[in-house]
Amino acid sequence: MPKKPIDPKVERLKALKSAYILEADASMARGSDAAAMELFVKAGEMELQLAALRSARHRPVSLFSAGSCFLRAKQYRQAMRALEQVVDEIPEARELMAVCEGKEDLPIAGTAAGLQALVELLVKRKVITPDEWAGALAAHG
Amino acid sequence: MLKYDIENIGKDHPALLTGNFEACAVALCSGGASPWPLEIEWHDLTKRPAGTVGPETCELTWQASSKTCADKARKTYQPKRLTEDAAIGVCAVAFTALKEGTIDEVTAHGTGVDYWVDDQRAVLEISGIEKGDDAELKKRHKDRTSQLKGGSLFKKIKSGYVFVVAFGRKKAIFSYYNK
Repeated sequence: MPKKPIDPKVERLKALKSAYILEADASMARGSDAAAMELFVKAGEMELQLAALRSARHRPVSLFSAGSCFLRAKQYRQAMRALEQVVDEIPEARELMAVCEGKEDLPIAGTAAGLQALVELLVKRKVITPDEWAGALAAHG
Repeated sequence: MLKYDIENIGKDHPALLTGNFEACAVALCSGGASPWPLEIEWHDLTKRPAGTVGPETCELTWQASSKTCADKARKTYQPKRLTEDAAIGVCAVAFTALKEGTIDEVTAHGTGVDYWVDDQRAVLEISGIEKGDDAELKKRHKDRTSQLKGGSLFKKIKSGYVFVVAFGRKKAIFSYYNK
């Protein structure tokens, strides 16, 4: 049976957020917590965008991933908001919500170093255009 | 014998930014000498003929320019990151060479990362060992299989793969589970 084509917008978002998550995870592993936090926030935002575009079957995984990203970025309120939407479908969400309970969001240091390196890579690989790159960095301050 | 040009993983897995995975894989495949034969011990894959079992050898090749990128990757990344990214690259090769599907998404999952195949048809666990014998490869595969089966995403989707590669042994174990 031929595969159903995927919306190009969804495809592009999947590629972008996949890159952000891998880079964030790698940053965390090498102890660059500030860089990792900002990348996880970006990835979480993209997961929320993906969740809004996807079918009911796929949406819970995107929301759960968004919650995990925000949790790893220590943005507990955003994490709670994403996770509470999927507790029925993914019971593990309840455990992550317990971790968030009663905690204040940590400020994002915003070094932008990790972000800049990644955005350069995305431009080089033609995933985003130079204009979008400028926009992303400007938005970051 | 299967053959695969490692520079094709970007084309075959278009949702992943594969340049880094290619470079790290070439760095760990015998220090960058092409071709590199990988023995893949496979179990219960969906696209192999029913009743058949592995192993199958896949010869990985690459251009001289990839060797240059591999040298940079080796100088840039710590061994753990190098091995992890290399394992993703080789796993992408195995998926295409054995026609199992496309790795098309990464999700954060609690404290770890999960990979998805064919628009969430199956979840995927990937792991790599730079040096290590067959016993270590088998143990890592067993551990990752337990991890896959114990995870909530596998419990929800009921379909998953485990891919573990030992670069020093030029061997991988690739298995599919559907409960």
